[in-house]
Amino acid sequence: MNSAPKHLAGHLPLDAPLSPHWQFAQFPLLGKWLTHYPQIDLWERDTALLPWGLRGIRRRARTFAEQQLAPMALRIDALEHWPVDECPAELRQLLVAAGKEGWLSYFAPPPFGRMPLTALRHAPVWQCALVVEEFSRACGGLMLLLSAHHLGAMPLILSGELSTLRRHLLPVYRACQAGDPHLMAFAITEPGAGSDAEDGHGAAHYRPGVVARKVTGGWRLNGRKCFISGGDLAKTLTVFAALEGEGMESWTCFLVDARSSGFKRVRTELKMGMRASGAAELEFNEVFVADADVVGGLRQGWALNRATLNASRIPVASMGVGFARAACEIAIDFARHYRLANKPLIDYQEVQLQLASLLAETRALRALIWNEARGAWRPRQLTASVCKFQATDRAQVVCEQALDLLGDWGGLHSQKLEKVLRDVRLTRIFEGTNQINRLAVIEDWQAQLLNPQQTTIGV
Amino acid sequence: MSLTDSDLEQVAGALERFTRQQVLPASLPYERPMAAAQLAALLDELTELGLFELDEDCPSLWADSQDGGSTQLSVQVLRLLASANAALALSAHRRAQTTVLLKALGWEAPACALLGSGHFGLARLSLGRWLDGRAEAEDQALLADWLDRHKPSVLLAPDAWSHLLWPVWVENSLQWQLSSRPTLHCTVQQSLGLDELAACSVYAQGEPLKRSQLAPEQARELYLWWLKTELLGLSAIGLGVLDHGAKMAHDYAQIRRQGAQLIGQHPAVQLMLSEIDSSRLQLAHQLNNSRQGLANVALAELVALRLTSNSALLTASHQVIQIHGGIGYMRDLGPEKLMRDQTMLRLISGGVASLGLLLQGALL
Repeated sequence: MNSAPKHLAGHLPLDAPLSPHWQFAQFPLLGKWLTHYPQIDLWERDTALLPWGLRGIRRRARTFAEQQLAPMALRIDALEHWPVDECPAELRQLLVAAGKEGWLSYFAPPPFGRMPLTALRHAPVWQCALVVEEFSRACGGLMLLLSAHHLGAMPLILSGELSTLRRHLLPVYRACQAGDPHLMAFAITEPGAGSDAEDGHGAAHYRPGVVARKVTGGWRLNGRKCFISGGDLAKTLTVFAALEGEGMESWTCFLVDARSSGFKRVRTELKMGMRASGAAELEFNEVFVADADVVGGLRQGWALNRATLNASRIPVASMGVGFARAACEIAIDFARHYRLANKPLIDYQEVQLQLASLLAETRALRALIWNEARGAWRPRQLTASVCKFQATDRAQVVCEQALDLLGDWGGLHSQKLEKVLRDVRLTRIFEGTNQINRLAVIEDWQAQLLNPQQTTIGV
Repeated sequence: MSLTDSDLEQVAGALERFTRQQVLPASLPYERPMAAAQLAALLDELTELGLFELDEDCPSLWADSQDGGSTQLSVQVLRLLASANAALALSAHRRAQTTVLLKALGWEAPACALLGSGHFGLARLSLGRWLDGRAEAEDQALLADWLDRHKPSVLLAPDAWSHLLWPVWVENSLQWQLSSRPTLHCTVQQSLGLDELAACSVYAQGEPLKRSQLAPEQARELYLWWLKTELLGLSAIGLGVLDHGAKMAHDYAQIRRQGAQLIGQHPAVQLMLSEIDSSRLQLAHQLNNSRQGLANVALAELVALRLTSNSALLTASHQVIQIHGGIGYMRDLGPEKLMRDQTMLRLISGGVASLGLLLQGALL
């Protein structure tokens, strides 16, 4: 049996006379209390630092991700692109399992959803960020398959209408929990108008991609939406449309049943990464939506859309952490096992330097996100966007640095890392490109930036 | 034969037509990689154009390392080909290297792939020291492990190869050996980019067909030549890929509107375009140094060139995607493929991360 090496090259063994750690333990009580730290796994340490109500969620999410997502990640990623009206059986089984375990209904507590009552004391965005990190670490595409659903349901929650929750969200959550996944999707992006819909900079010149025309008892929707994550499998969609003859200020959220006459999933995109989740182009041809299925009221769609993005951008940032963590872990594993000149790579100083940087970047991103998520009961545009662009930009860099560590081997699919890079790349684009998110920061900062009384702006 | 500017213009003109009329159409649609047969046919056409001839009267790739014109031609051709298809450019580069190496070794081998580096990185400082005649016992041991052909290495090549030319460490010196495919264990795998080529992990199971017996100085010279052409060639190919991306980004910025104006009128997009353009201009300027001839450019300069330019190339390729927004991520449009290819170019032949120690090994 091989015994573990006592130390890495260039470093003292933990029990060496000059190694301080064992000496900390022998300090007098107060000194020991001030210096001696447990050398526990960093993930365990972070979990232990979480409020009690969130620790269990993090552990459960990790277990689910490792047992259900990770084993199929590479296989699903390598599949041929499947037609818009098909879905691999494995994915359907995963959705059933996720629904039963509550991963499709954790944005509300009982009796609506599966949010643990102990988590109620904390911002739901924080809980979501924890789950999304674990899922992203296992597989970006499968994470998106499970997470796009929550984005679709978010306008129902944020509308604040109890009747909407009862009539629309409750059946969705109950079906999911019963093992009959009822997925939702969030449909804002329109052909030729990506950033207009996500930011509003072009609002004055916006030409609606989907228009709602008033008819007796409801509305008729016509037009197209594109790049809709989960739009291929959703049974219900929150669709944002302008009212006939009006501009972006008239945007209204309509709840569309995918079985409606005139609704068609035209195609799904052939994406670089996150391939387990479909990005659908949707066609609306005289699709009827009853007045009762307008979410949040007429002309409230724009605000509802922006509130949804404010709530979702911290979890998107958390995707970045999940990908950075995955890249970091793959690099560590490679460095521990790959040998050059009879030594594992981790014994070489240049590799140790690389690993330290990967770790620091990843943990800095998580610290940023947890810090902002902790207080995100009402997620602020400024902080959500800062998290989103910073975490996803830097996560990509982490993935590239990890690839560098693997060298020639990094490009091979079997090493898993190239998939992480392809997956993380999308996070810099969706939910508003990172350029748009930078501008969103400034937009939301104006109250301070334009205040003549405020000579020093807090940062 | 020394190449004049007029020769260079003539060859560049012919290659430009070939690239526009044949390579670009064959590279579309982006989501369907060029078939192996098509790639082979294009390589054959390049052969017919004389690019791999090593004939005194024919300007060919990497043929004369003393002649600045010949080096410049190689850089131009690879850049041009890569501006349409990086995998074809890399294949042409490899075929040219293989042709020169086989001639120098006095061997012949049909359908020969080339794997010029070892199983991981570029042997830290040891390779640089050995190239400079300063290798010590520790370096010898590392080089022996690095070039141990019974350990898997990554090969990226058109899949139809039947022979493999690769370096091996024998009695404290680097030699070349030629192996036939049946004597190798080769596992083809999917890879991040350069979709037209087959990536595989490969190691020797049987005896090689041939092994060189070069004198130490000859061995060093020949490997130095390979390494220099590799560093320069990969930089030229990377620049070509970025040329392609820059055109896509500028074209898109001129047609895509957001709100009241074209996106090219937004400073956010202008700054990304500037990053792309400045990376191109800077690397093109640096590559011009090759006009003095490969033999007259120090290894350290070429290492530094790839080391410093590659990050900028990669960042620029991401900006091409970013300018396109959502459709930049979709496989049918092209920017994502360029980014994947650019990343693969960064990782192959030891990877850019290994260059720092190589540089120090070569300098100190």
